[in-house]
Amino acid sequence: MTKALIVNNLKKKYKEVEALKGISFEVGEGEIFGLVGPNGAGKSTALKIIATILSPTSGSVTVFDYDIKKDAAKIREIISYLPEEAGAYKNLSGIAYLKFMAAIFTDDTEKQKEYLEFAIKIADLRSRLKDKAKTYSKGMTRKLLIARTVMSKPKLIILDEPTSGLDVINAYEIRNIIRDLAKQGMSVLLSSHNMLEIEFLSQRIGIIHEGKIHVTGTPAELKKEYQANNLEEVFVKLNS
Amino acid sequence: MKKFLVLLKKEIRELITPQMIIPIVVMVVIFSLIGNLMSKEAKKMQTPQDINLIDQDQSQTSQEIIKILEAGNFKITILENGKIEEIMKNKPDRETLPLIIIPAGLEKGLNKFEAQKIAIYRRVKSFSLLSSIKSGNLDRVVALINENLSNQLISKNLKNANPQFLKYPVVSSEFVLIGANVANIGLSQLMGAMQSQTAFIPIILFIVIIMAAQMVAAAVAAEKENKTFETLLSSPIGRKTIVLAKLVGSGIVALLFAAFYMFGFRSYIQGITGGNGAPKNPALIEALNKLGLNFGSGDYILLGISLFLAILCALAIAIILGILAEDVKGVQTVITPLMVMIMIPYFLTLFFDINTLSPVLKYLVYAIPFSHPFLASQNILTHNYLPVILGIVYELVIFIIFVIIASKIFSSDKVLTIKLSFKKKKLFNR
Repeated sequence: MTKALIVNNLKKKYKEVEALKGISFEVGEGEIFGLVGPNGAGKSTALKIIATILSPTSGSVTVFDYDIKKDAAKIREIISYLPEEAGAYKNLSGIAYLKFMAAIFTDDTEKQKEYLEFAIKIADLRSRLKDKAKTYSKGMTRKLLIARTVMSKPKLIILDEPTSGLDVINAYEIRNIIRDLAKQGMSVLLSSHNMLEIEFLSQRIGIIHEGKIHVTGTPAELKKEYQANNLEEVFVKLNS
Repeated sequence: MKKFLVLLKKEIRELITPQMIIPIVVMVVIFSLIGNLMSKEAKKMQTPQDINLIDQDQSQTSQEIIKILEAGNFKITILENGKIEEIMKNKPDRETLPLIIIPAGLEKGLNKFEAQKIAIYRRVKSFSLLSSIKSGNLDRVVALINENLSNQLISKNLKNANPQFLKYPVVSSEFVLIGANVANIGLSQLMGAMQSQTAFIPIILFIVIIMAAQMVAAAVAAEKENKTFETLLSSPIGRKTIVLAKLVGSGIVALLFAAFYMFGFRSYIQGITGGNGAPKNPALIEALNKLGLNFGSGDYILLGISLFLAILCALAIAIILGILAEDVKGVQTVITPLMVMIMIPYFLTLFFDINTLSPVLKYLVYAIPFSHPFLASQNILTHNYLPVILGIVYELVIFIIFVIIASKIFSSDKVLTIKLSFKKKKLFNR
């Protein structure tokens, strides 16, 4: 079976700081894989490397058999990345932003229309799509960006803290969107420091701390192995 | 190419915002208003100036003086003689000032070849440029009287003498040389004419280059701050395309705003000069033509290329500086060195001839790419084309170097990781 993502012994150093100390994990096709860990654990660095915007110091990353160092341009065509706390272009309306991003993903005008329709459905912002993005609430912006991320139905979706800073209703809606997308066959790699969210969404998880993945498995496997009621307890036991 | 155009459209839409347009429109309107005001004031000054006069001498000479002043575009109102303080106290300013007093005994004194004093009273309400010009106009009173009275005194006392010759036995006939061209014109007259035609060029260059640099640096910093940059960098679009779209987008918007400024400045200059700044004196026009001091279409193209390349250089440097800024607020700080680099040639070319500076300073000015359009306007007028072409080549080289550096940064981790840190270093390591 083709793997959506294979990360092998990935290391990243920023001058003296070693953000990733050799992490390895895999994501299967149509799978939601959650990278969970506290702030500063190395989650965002790992995601940025997989999203081709940072280069690894050593190790390898392959996305649907494309190597991150040799085939970055090919990878960008099949992935979509949502950075943590990202915004949209303030002076563009929601619809103008989606049109712009559709044109970035494809030159084909028919496909652009298709992407746009899908994004409008996902964003569910109705008449507010005509307003400038700077007038949106945090939840509305996040929905717009999730719609942008998935509009081209990428083979691998990379989501960094997708519900960070959102209220309960908005976070709930976005979690449901992510689950629906995975059902449509898209692979999802998401990061969060919210262990309960990861447990709810992910089929498999990797617990990352201080640049190292300590353990991977399904939430049920990990809870059983560490005799814990939830992932928070697993994490505490791992670090004690 | 399609994606480049999509990005370019987005850049322009992001840059042209009401917050950007309103200050520019306001500035253009203000320039037009000032120009209009100056034009009205200048017209006002051309109308006969009202002067009040007390003739204490009541002589033939004092009558002659009144005639001289009337012929010299002054409108005279004769006031009753009396104590000056009383006159001032009892009547409002407009009926008494400015006031000229021809003293009693003026004619007798002149006939004895004794210099006489004419008193001039005027009230100072402000120290503005226009009020000083008005005061200067009043200074003409004594010059007019002297010129005419001395002619009359010479004619009266020296039979068959030519007063003009006796007063000015030697007059200058000035010639100015530019290259191989020679014209019979005074240097100060030529300088005045040239300044009225070219004064706005360095100002426009200065504003456009600074504005373009600020725009692109702010655009990059805003992308970083909003993390839209990370989205773009992970999208199927080339890094060079991103750099190029930002450069071209900011360049187009800067040129558009430059056109607005030009319009505003033109109205301003028209207001000051009462025309488009072009000379109207036929002798001056002939001299300028002889010296070749006119911009031909080829000259405008050369100046345009030099300016465009200077803008591109500023944009390429500013895009790198924008990456160094942590957010939009930090843009002003990171862009300061660039602004200083633009200010140096602006002020130096405004006040000095670069070629007469010390070698170190001269080559320092040449090394700054933004110096060349400032120097080009002067060199083109004096038909010194080699430095203009060398300047253009130099600007092109600098632009290419900085675009390569910017593209390399955009293709590396540095685009997200480098930033200027102003935090104080720890004095002691724990």
